[in-house]
Amino acid sequence: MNKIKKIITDFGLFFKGATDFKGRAYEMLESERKIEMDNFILICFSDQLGMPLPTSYYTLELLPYLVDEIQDWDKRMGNRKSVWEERWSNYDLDP
Amino acid sequence: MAKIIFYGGKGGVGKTTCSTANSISYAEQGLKTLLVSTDPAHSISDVLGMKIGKKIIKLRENLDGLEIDPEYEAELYVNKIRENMKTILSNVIVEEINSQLDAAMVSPGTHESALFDKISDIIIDKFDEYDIIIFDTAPTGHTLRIFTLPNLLEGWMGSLAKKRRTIVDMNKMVTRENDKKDPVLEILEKRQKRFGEIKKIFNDNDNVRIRFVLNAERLPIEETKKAIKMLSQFNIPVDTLVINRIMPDDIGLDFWEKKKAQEIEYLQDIENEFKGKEFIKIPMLDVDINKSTVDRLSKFFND
Amino acid sequence: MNSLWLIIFSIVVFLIAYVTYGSWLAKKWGIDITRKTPAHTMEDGVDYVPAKAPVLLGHHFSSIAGAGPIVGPIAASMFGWLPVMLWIVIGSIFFGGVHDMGSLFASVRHGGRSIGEVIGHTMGSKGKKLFALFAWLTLILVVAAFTNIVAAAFVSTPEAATSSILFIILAIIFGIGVYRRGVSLAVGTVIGVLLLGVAVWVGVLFPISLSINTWMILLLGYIFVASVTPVWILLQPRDYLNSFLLYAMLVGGVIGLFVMRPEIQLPAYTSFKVGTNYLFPILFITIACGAISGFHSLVGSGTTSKQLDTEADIKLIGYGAMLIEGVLATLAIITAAYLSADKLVEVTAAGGALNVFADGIGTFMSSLGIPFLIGKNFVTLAISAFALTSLDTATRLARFIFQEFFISDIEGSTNNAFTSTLTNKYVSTLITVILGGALAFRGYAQVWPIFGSANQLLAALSLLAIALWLKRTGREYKMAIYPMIFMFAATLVALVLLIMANLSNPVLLVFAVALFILAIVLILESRAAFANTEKLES
Repeated sequence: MNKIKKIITDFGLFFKGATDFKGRAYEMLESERKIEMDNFILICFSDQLGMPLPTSYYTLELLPYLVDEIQDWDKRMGNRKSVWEERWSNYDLDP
Repeated sequence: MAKIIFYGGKGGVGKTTCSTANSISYAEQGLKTLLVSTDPAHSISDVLGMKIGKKIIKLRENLDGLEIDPEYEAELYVNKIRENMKTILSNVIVEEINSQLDAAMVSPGTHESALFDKISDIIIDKFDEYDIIIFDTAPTGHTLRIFTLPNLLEGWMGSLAKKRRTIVDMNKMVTRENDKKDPVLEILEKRQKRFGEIKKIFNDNDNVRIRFVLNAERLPIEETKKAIKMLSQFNIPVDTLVINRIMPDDIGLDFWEKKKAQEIEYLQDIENEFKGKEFIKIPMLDVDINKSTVDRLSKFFND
Repeated sequence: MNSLWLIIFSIVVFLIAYVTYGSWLAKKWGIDITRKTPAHTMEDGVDYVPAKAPVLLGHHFSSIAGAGPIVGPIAASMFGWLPVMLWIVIGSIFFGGVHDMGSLFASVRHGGRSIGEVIGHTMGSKGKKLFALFAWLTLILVVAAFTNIVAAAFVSTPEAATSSILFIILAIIFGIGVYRRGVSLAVGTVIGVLLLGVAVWVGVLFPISLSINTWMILLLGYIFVASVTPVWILLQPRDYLNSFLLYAMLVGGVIGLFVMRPEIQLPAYTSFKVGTNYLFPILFITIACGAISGFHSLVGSGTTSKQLDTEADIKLIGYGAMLIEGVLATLAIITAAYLSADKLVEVTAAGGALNVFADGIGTFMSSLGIPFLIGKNFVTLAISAFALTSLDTATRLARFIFQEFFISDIEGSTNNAFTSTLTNKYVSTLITVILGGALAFRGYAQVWPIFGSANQLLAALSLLAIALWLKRTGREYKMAIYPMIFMFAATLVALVLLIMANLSNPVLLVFAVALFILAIVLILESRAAFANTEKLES
């Protein structure tokens, strides 16, 4: 009996995952926002990666406000070998 | 009448002496004058025999003085950020970021950026307070870079602000919080505005002039030629040259005997002050030192 | 024979394959259910977040399902329904399933990184560049093929053209309202869906009839504009509203099918040569999605591998999703199979495979009381809306690849005027649209096979990387090699036939020749790569 209940729940979850309306309404925006944010942080704190810019001194005072975003930023930067492959998952190509 | 005068020139031409003397003359004319030293050697204190520090002090009637210490300014800036962080974040995170801030202090561009920041502050804040502001600059090539910065930085800050605005807009779309003001954007826009103000002041040719100090000798003349050429790119006119240490027209033995006597005193001072050191004494030649005459000096270096 | 037997047949066979071959693959590849997946080891609450298996399956499936499994099988039905069924079933089980599951597994073992990383790991940077090149070419062909399909659909169903235009306007209003102005999603959705219904109805009242070439030009212009505007205005709202259209269509179509229970009239097998098309290789090239598709590897290694909760789910999601798509393809073939051979030719001539599909589903839904024209318009709108969103996406992705290729891969180049112009957003988009457009005008019959070839070559490259990785980590790999070899054979023959048929058309010729050369390069690379016996860690 429990098994049948599980199968029904799983079917429900499958349809939830396939439709995912709430997620679908925002997923592309989220992805774009993340990419923009990473690029912004890159310019602000490029000297952390060894590339000082003329503005590096002045963007330093932004550090306290961007701490949350920086936490995983350098990890994400290290993972970004190929931008176009990443972006593939940001869109729904469905050919 | 220019409000802001930058004194430039090769090391040793008497730049500091001239800028100081110039500021005194303006003060005596009744113009409220501020003399600012950006030269790390801070020779103004030496010239006037007064201790000039990081805060504006009164030197004479109508004349105030200030020495900019970029390291101090940078430390002030970073500490302010540290204080700010403590109010926004937990102490644990502050600890982690502290090392990043410390590293930033010794980053290549910090010195120049802090200097430019302070110069901008003085120009903008004191523009109306004083009739004349004179900057005694360091005799390095970097000094001239200062004139490139307002344009450059306004552009950079502008594009950063634009990027941030895009992010803020996207945030609003995703999180649906419409009213929150974004402190990052505010800071960026404030900076952009400030650089724009400086740019405007610099671009108005009536506001800013450069005076170049040189001696009637070959190397300073070459240096001045190069500098003027470079500065013409930034539309900052060098309309006045201060030719320092011109010998008097009626120069006679008296003049030279007085100068030699003074020199002997100073040579003695050197030997007393720097006891135990080696001294190599090179005479002043009666010709310009160039590729054909430099060999005449080399024989004095027999170590 | 009743068409429902086809569905039952495919579901049963797939279930058997799932528990036998799928499990066999999992065992041979050493899928370790105790091993922690990147979703746990690299959990960051953003990209790496473990998801429950059924939910992830749903997500992955909706990412790989598309217009491909619909168009392909219907187009190939000229050979009769039996060859199509067999290829769907055998292809999904032994080809596509292996490809998808293998890519997912390899990606999971590479820290959730993309399949390109796996390719780079096993074949070096040359392999990666090949991959980028194949992907770019395939995307351009998506633009070509889908533009053509949609334009043909608009010609056969002018009602859908009107509805599509209304949909675009509706999407923009939705985007501005919900994202910009803060209208709540629920309210926006309700209004949006209602207005969609209105759009379908208005379309039937005021169809817009233009020539196919005019539609193609308009579509290409639309693609250009859409792909350079920010996502919140058009792409995101469309993608969101599309899902309602699609699921409504699927539900309506499937229920209608079960109510109507149409008989199969199409012959099981017509002939080996139909017109100028030979069963081998055309059958295998025409049905890419629904049997094996290279794009799936990019999807699987995109978000799916980063959200996998345990390696035990690899079989379900990698292998299972492909099989479900096979069922979808079976549904598609029924819309062609219930027609007689002559009727099929007639409906296809009127508006291509999409017309056949829309006609079929429209007919099934009419058994539920929905007026045929409304139903047909609705289906055409749904699929073409879907295709238009895919076109927008494909153009963007092609632009990214193009920009990245030109910025990073020119040895020692600094940003000179030439490369700066080329990588400019508008110029690179223009290049994509022009190339895709030039091919689109050649006509569906030429473009779809070349699209299928490119897609299959992409899949072959992924299979190659998977096989290499399996071999060099000491696992059994033949199950990936044989499908790969077959893909090469079919693709090369198809390309030769295409080249011979298009000697007079420069654009298509260039593409076909380029693909052929690249395929040969790939084969040579694979021989070299297999000679490398250096062991890799798993």
